Amino acid sequence: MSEEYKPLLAITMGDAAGSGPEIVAKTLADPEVRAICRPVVIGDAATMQAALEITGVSGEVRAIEKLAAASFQDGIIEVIDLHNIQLDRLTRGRIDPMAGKAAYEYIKLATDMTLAGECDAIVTSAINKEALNKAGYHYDGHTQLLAELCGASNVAMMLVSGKLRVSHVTTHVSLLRAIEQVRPERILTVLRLTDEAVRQMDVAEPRLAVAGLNPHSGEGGLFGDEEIKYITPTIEEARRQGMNVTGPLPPDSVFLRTYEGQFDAAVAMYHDQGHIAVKMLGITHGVNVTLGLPIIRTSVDHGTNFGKAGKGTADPTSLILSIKLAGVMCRHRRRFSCPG
Amino acid sequence: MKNKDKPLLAVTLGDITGTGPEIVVKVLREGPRDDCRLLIICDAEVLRSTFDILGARFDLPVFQSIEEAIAGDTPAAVLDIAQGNKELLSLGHPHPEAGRMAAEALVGAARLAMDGQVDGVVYAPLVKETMYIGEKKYNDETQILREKLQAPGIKSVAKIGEIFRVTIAEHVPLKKVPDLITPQSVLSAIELLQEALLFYGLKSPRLAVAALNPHAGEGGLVGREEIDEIAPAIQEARAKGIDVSGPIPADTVYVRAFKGQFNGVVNMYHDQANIALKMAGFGEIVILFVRSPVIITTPSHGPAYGKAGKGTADHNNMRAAIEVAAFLAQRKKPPIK
Repeated sequence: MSEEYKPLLAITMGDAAGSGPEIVAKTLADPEVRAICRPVVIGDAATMQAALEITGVSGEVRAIEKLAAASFQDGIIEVIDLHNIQLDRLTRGRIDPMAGKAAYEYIKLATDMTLAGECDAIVTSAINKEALNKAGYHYDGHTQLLAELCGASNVAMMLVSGKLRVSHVTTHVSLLRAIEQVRPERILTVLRLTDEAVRQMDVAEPRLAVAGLNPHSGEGGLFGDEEIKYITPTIEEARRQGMNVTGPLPPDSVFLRTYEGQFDAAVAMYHDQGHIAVKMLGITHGVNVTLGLPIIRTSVDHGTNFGKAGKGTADPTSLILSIKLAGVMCRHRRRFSCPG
Repeated sequence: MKNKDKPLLAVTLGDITGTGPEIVVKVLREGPRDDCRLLIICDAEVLRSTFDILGARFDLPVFQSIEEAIAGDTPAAVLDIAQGNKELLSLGHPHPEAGRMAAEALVGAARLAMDGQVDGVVYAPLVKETMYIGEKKYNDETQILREKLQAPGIKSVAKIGEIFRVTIAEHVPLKKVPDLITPQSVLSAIELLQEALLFYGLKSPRLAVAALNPHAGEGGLVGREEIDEIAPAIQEARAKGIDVSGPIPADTVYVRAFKGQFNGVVNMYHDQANIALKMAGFGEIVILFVRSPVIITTPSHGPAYGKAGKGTADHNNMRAAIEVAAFLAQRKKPPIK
C-alpha cells in the first residue's frame, strides 16, 4: 500500500446547515481514509472548526490559501477556506440561502481545481436543493450542476451499494418523460459510460446487464415494445463495439442477478427501477458516481440530514466509501494513463 | 383441536405437468397440520406417482365420494376424480389437456366450498396459456372464478410476508400506466386493499400508496400524477376513514413497509412492487381472493415446468397458501367444540 499513489481529493463541505461538515470531520479522522488519499476540504474553515468541536473529533483545522500549502498530515484538516459562512447567522437544521450559495461555491472551486489537474478527483458532501435554489442556483442537483460546470452533455448516475452497481438511462424526469427518453443513442451512451466506469473500478472485463423497461421485459411485445424497438438493437450494437452485454432482462430479476455476481453492473431505464433495487438491499450506505464528466466524481448517496445537524451523530460511512471508491478510480486511471 | 374440529381445505394439484403435484406432496410429507385438514382433490393415480418420484410412501385414505371423504377423520385424505386423458401428458410439457384438468379440478373444489362441504380451497399453480374449460379459453383464474361462482366482484390480492399488495396497472406496457392512474382507479385500489386487510382480520390496518414518478413528483417538478390523480384519491379514502399514507416515493415505500410502518401497499405498476420484493428476498407470496363467496388461495408462482419431476421444487409458498386459507377459514368459522 505504501507504494500506491495517494490521490489528492477535493472534498466539498456541503451544506453548512446540514450534517456535511460533521461527516467530513469524522471521515478525515479515519486512518483508512488517510492511508489511501491526500484529502483537502473545500469549505469554510470556521464551520469545520465548529464541526470538530461538535463531533469531539480530535485534531486541528488549518485554513490554507493554496493547495501548495497543504501538508496532508494526519490529524490536520486542511481547508481551502472560502470564508463564506457567517457562523453567528447560521441555524443548523434549516434551509439557509447563505449555506446554499456557499455549497455552490465549494463545488465550483473543487470542480475548477480538478479540471485544471490540481486535484485527482472531487468527492462531494450533501447539498440541499432548495437552499441552492433559494440562493439563485437552479439545478435539480449535483449531477446537473457538475455537468454544466464541466461542459459535459452526456452524463449518467451510477449508484454503488455493496456489490451492486446500477447506472441509469434516465433519472430526474417524470415516468412518462423517462419512457420517451429510452432510445438507442442514450442507452448506448450509458452503456459505454458504465463499461468505462466499471473498468475504472478495477474490473478488467465488465459484464453488463441491461434491464427491460416493461414488466417481464415486454414479454415478446405483449406488455410493451420498447425492448424490441430500442433496447435489443442497442445491446446488439454495443456487442458489435466489443462490450459484454446481456439483456434486456426482466426488471424484477436483473438487479438481484447482478448483486449475486452474475454481472458487474446493471443498467436501469428509469430512476425508481434502479433506486428501488438499491434501497431494498438494506445496505444503508452507498456511493453515487457521476459518469461522463471529464473528471472523477463520487458523492455521498444521502441528503443533508438536517435532523442530525449540530448533534454530532451523523454517520460518515457513505463519505468514507465515496473517498475509497474515488481512490480506486484515480489509481486505475493513473496506472493506465501513465504506463510504467 | 381434534381433526374433526379443524377446517377442511380442498387442495388441487394445479397443472400436473408442472411442479404442482410435487409441492402438494411435499406439504403432505410434513405430517398432520394443526390448523386444518387437507382433502386433495385429484386423480389419485397422479398423486401416487408423485409420491413414487419423491421416494415417499403413499398412505393417504382415498375416497370416491365427497360424503365419504368428509366423514373421515384423518389429517389428510384424497378425493379421487379420475380425470382427463393423461396419456397425452408428460412432465415439463404444458398441454391444453393438463390445463383443462387443472381448471376443472379448481372449479370442482370451489363448488364444494360453495356447497359448504369444505371450508376453503387452495390450488397449486396453473398457467393462462393452457387455461381451458371444455373448449373455452380463459385469461386467468379470476375470470374462471367470477364466472363459475357467479361472483363478478372477485379480485386477487397478494400477501407478501406480512404485507398485502394491490397493483393498479399490472401486466400492461409501462407507457400505458400513467393513463391508468386516475382518482377512481387509485381509490378503488385503496378500498380493495383495505377490504383484504380487514378480511384477514386486521383491526386498524395502515395503508400506503406508492408514487408514480421519482421523488413522488417533487411537488410537480417531475410529473403531476401525484398532485392531480393520487393525492385526491388518498384524501377521499381518508375521508372514508381509511388510514392511508402517500403518495410515498416508490424507492422507500417498501423499505418503510418492511420496518412495520404499513400493512399494505398500493402500487402503480408491476415492477415497483416486484423489484422491491425480489431484492428483499423475504419469504412467501400468497394470492388470496377477496369479494369471493368462498375462501380461495394459491401460491404466487407458476408451475415451473423446468423443474417438473426433478424433486427440487420449493414448496414454501404452497405451505404458506394453505396457512392463509386455514387462518381465514378459522376466522370465518370458529371451531365447534
